[in-house]
Amino acid sequence: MAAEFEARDFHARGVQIRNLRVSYQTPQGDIPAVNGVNLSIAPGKITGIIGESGSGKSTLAMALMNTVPRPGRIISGSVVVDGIGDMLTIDKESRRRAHGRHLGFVFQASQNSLNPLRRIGAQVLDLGRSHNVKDLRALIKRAKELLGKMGLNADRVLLSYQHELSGGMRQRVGIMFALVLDARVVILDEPTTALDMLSQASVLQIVRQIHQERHLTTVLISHDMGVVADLADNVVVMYGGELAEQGSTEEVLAHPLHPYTQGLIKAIPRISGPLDQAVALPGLPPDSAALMAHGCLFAGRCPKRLPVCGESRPTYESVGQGRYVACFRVAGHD
Amino acid sequence: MSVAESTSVSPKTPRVPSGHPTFIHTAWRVIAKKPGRIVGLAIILFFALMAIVGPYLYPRQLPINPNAIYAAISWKYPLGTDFEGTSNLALIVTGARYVLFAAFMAAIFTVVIGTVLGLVSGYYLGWSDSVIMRITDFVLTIPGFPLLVVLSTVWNFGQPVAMGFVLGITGWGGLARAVRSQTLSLRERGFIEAAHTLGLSPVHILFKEILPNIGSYIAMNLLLAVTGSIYAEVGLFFLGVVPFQVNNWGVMLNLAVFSAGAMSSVQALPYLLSPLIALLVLTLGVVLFLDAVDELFNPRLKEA
Repeated sequence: MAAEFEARDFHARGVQIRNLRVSYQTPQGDIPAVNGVNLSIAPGKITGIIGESGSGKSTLAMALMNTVPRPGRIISGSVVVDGIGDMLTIDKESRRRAHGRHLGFVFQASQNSLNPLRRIGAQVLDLGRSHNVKDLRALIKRAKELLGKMGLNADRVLLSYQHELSGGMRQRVGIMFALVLDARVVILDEPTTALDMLSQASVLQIVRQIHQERHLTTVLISHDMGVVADLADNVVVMYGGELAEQGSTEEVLAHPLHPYTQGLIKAIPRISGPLDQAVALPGLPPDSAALMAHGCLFAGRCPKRLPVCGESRPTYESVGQGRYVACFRVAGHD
Repeated sequence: MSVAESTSVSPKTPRVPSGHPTFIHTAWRVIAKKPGRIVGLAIILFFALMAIVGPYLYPRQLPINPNAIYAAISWKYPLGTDFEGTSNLALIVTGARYVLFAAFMAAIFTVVIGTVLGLVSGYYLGWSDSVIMRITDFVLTIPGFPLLVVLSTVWNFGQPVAMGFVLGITGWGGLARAVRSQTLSLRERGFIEAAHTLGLSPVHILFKEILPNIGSYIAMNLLLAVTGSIYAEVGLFFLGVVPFQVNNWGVMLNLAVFSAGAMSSVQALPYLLSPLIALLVLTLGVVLFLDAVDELFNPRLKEA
């Protein structure tokens, strides 16, 4: 185990998601939260997943780890992480070992993701013991190294309780926990939502820096177009539990193809120019009835609706190098 | 915000909290904060000491004195004497061991069974939860006291462990339910979710992450279970449903009321009052000390 821990391979790991379906079982019936998602997460790249609240992006992230909380249930599909296998079918114990060691996860509210009764250093040791790390001394050293890199006083932080740290510090500690076992794939679920602009900028800076240094595969989940545009190499747009559009960040931002992406980009307020240039997207996210219906999920809010949109759902198709979109308006659909 | 120089500092030891005040040290600081807590702790320690060394201070057969039956309070008999002229103080001191040991065992049984079952059922849910909670419901419906009365006809309660065991296995239902509900709310908290995604083992999560967070609640229940069990067993002896084999506080109460007529004669009053006062003082000590328990377990309160 120790040898495995020391062996640091520098091959970034990709993730292949095939036909993933997750639904939440409610008294109103099963609500699909992630509905037939196919996605390849490129190794060594930062992939931004963007979407509004309830679009299923956090559920997708949990499904990547196979830790969808009840009443959610993964119905079908596969999540193959290079070098580990299908997260959805490997046995419980291997899955537990993969968490933390191969797949790091940073929570939206890292504020609350630390045990209030134990010092940070003790929690690092707990983590090491749970993963059978023999050399705990090296683990602490690594934690210190990471914390130092993030601009924290490592010795002080390791001796602190959670309530003795600020929000930005806790978020960085959360990133440290995700990386301290040398995870190669890191999933950040809205890592900056609870932070002010300055902490946000510094956390993003750290994410970028560590991503490059450690040859990580990073999945960044956000509802903030700015954060994704700033950091991600590739962007995936989610809507109503399905993928709407995907491509390199420049492509998607400069030439959004899906009307939803276009609406999202139009809704960003500019620093200069009149404020009313930012147009809010009208309407509401799809409700359970719309999710069950046959038509395009976005049809109800779409300014460019066609008659066919209400009848059948557009497939998610390739329209160029790494570029996918699900819309009848876009060439490639007939 | 500069990249800290401390990165190169090699860690001295993997035991991170070393060089920090030990638990005993911080515990003492918490207790010393309020005089009531010191008094409470002193009373508890005093009674514990009495239970441990008390029986060695007196001969096995306590001396009787036919000339001092129901003697008044004096230097020789600080709490008066009983119907044989035996010092009430000696009776209290030698009787403490049975009472306290049985109560302690009962509290341990209650807390261990209640906590483990509550944790497991609240954390794993599913069928284990259903099974455990149905058993809990069943235990809750058993009236503990009458059961003890019935059991005492077939079971010899001369050994305090037996008494403690019976009190314990009838008393854990409420605690199991309470621990379960606390576990249910804790398991949804962010740090437990985070522990899952970091791949910490379920046993670790259950006993190192969840258990300490309900530690203060359990410790309070432990102390309250001690007093509760004392009342229950003293009550049993007082009612006389358990055969007297040993001297203890409940036996004293029974004899004072039913044989010595302490309710009607002033003479025997010290005989009745001395076990009552012992119970009162012990309860007071527990209640005073309970105040410190919350702070002992919560690092945030510790510093305030």
